[in-house]
Amino acid sequence: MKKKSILFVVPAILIYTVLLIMPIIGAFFLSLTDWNGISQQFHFVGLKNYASMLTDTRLFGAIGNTVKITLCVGIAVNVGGLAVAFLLNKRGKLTNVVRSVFFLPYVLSTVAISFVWMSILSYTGILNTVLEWVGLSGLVSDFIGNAKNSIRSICVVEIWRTIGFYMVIYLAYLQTVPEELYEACMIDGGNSRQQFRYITLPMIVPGITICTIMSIMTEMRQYDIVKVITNGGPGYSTETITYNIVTQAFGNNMLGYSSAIAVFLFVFIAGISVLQLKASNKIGG
Amino acid sequence: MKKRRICTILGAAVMIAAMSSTMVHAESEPVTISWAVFETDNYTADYYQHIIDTFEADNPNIKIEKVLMTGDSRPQFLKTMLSAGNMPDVNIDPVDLADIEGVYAEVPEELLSKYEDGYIVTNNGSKNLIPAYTALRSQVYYNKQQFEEAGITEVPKTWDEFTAACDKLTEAGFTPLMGVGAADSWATSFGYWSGVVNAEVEAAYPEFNKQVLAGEVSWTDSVIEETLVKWQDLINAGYYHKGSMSFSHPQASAEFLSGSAAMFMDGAWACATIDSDEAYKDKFGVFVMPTPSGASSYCTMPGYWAVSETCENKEAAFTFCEYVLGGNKDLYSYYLQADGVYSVTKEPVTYEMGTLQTEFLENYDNMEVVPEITKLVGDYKLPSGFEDYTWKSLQNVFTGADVKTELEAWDAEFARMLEG
Repeated sequence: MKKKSILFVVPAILIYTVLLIMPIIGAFFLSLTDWNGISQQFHFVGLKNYASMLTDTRLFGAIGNTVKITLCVGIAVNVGGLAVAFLLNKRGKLTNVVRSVFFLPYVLSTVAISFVWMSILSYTGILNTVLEWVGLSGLVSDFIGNAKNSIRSICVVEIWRTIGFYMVIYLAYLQTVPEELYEACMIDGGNSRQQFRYITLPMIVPGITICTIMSIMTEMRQYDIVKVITNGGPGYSTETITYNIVTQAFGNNMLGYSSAIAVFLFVFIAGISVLQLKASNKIGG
Repeated sequence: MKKRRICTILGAAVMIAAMSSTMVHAESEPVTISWAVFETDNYTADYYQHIIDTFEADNPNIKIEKVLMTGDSRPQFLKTMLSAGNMPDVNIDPVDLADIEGVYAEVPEELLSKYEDGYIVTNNGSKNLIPAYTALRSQVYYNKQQFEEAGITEVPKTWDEFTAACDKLTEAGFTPLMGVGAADSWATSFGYWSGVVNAEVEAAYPEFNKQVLAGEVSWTDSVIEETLVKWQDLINAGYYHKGSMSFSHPQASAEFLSGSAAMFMDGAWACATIDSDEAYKDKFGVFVMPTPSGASSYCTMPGYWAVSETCENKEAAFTFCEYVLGGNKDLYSYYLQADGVYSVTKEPVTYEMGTLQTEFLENYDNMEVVPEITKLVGDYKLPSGFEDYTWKSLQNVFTGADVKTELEAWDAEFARMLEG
C-alpha cells in the first residue's frame, strides 16, 4: 500500500526535479565554467567566478540596490498590507469593491503598469504636471532620471503593485481568528490595542512568516519594473541583482559568471528564509 | 505470373500515389519563416505587415511570422533567443553576433553578387551577412522659430559658435538641448558619440579599430577623454533639458518636436519622421554638430540581415531576404524610405527624399566619410557586447561620473571581452 502511494507523488517529484532541481544544479555547474552562453566550448575555471564577485563593484551596487528595495518594499507591503486587511476585515457595503481595487494592480501585467508609471513619473509626466497645477512646483523633480529618486520611484511602484496581494493573505489569516477570543478579551477588560497585541498578532504569525518570506523572495528577484522604467540606469544606479545577472549573461556574454551570481542569490534567499522561519517558530511558540 | 504482374502494377500504383501525394503536400503546405524585427516611429507594425503581405502575395508557399525584438538592445534579445534555442530564421541587425561561429548561415554567392562589393564583409572567414542598406548617422536638429527668437541667424559651424548659440537660447528662455535616458540607454550618447567623438577619434587615429584591437591605442586615450569631458561641460552648463534622463527616445523626440528644447542630436531617421508629417513642415532644420578640435567627418552605418544557421528552410529564408532587399524594387524602395536609409544594391534603388532629408544629405557635401568605430563590421569589429557596455558607462558620464575612471573601466572590460 505504501509503495503504491509513493507512485502517486512520482509525477510531482519528476516535474519538480526537471523544472527546479536540475536547473539549480545546472546553474551551479555553469558557475564553475567560463561559458559565454553561445559557443560550443567552455573551460572549467573552478571558483574563479566566485572570486571575481568579491571585486565586482558593479555587483556590489546591484546588491545594495536590491537590499534597499527589499527592505523598503518588504516593510511597507507587510505593515501596509496588514493595516489594510485589518480595515477591510469587517463587512461593509463597499468592502468587496475596495478589496478588489487594492488587489487589481497585482493581476495586471507588470510590464504594462511599468509603462503607465513611466508616463506618470517622467519629468514632463502627469505627477509633475499635477504638482505644478496645484502650486507645488517646488516639489517638481526628475523622479526616474536620477539615481536617488529612481530607486524610490521603483519602490513606490512595487508597493502599489503588490500591497493588495499581501492584504489578501493577511485578510485570510485574520478571518481564521475565532471571534470568541476577542469576546473573552473584552470581558477581561482588554482594549483594542491589547486585542491586537495578545490575540490577533500571535494568531497570524504564520501569515506574517509567509508574507515576509514571499516579499523578500519577490523583491530579491526584482527585474521587470527596473527593466522597463529605468533599464538599470542612469548608468548602473538602479541595477538589481537579477538585472545584473541577465546583463552579464546576455549583454556581456558571461553566462558562467552570471550563474555564479545566481547561485549566490539562491543561497542568500534560502538563508534569509531559513532564518525567518526559525524566528517565526520561536515567536509562534 | 499473372499474380506477379498484378502485384507489380499495384505496387507501382501505390508508389505513384504516394509520390504524387507527397508532391501535392509539398506544393500545398507553406513553409513558415520567422523574422526578427524591431519597431520605431518609422518602422511600425503596419510597415512590416505591408512587406509581409507583398512578399506572401508573390510567394504563397512561404509564410512570414514576425518576431518583435523588444528592449533597447537587439543583440541582447537575439542572444537570449539563441540561448533558449528559439533563434528567429531571419534577423535584422545581426552584426553583433555575426563573428560567433555557427550562428548565421553562409549567404549564397549568387545573392551577394547583387550588392556593392564594399558592403560585403567576412566574419571569421564566413560571408554570413546580407547587405540591406547604408544609413547616415547623426546631426543636430533645431527648432527654427526658437533659433530666430534667440537671435541666432546662422547655424553654428564651430564649437565656440555652438556653445554661444546654447547661451543665447538659454538667455531667451529656451532649453538648448534635448537628451535621452530612461530605458533607452543607447540614445543617451548616440548623437554626441557618432557625431562628435567618432569624428575626433577618426581624425587622430584613422585606423582606430585596428589599433585598439592590437592594443596600440587604448580607450583612455586623451582624444576620447577630452571629447567626453567637453560633453560633460555641455551637461554641467545646464544646456540639456532637466528631464533628459527620464525620457525614453520616443518621449524625447516628441518633447523636442513639441518645442521643449531647441536642439536634438538625433539620427538620420528623424528626417523621415519630420518630412512625413505636414505639421512639422519648415519648422525644423538640421546641421552637422561642430567638434571641439574642428575635426570634420561623418560616418555611415551599413545595415545587414542574416539567416540563422538553425533555420530549417534556408532556401525560403534567403528567397525572402532577396525579395525584400532589392528583388522587388518597389518594396526595397519602401523599405529604405521609411527610415531614410540608402540602397546598397549594384543597381541603385532610389526614392523621393523630403526637404529635411535632402538638407541632411547636402550638409555632408565635401566632407570625408569615415567608419563608425562601434559599428564596424568584419575583421576590425569590436567584441560582441562591448557597445552595450559603453552605453551604460556613457550614461554614467552624463550623470557626472569621472570620465577617466569610466574609460579605465572600458579598457578592463575590453581586455576581458577580447580574452573571452
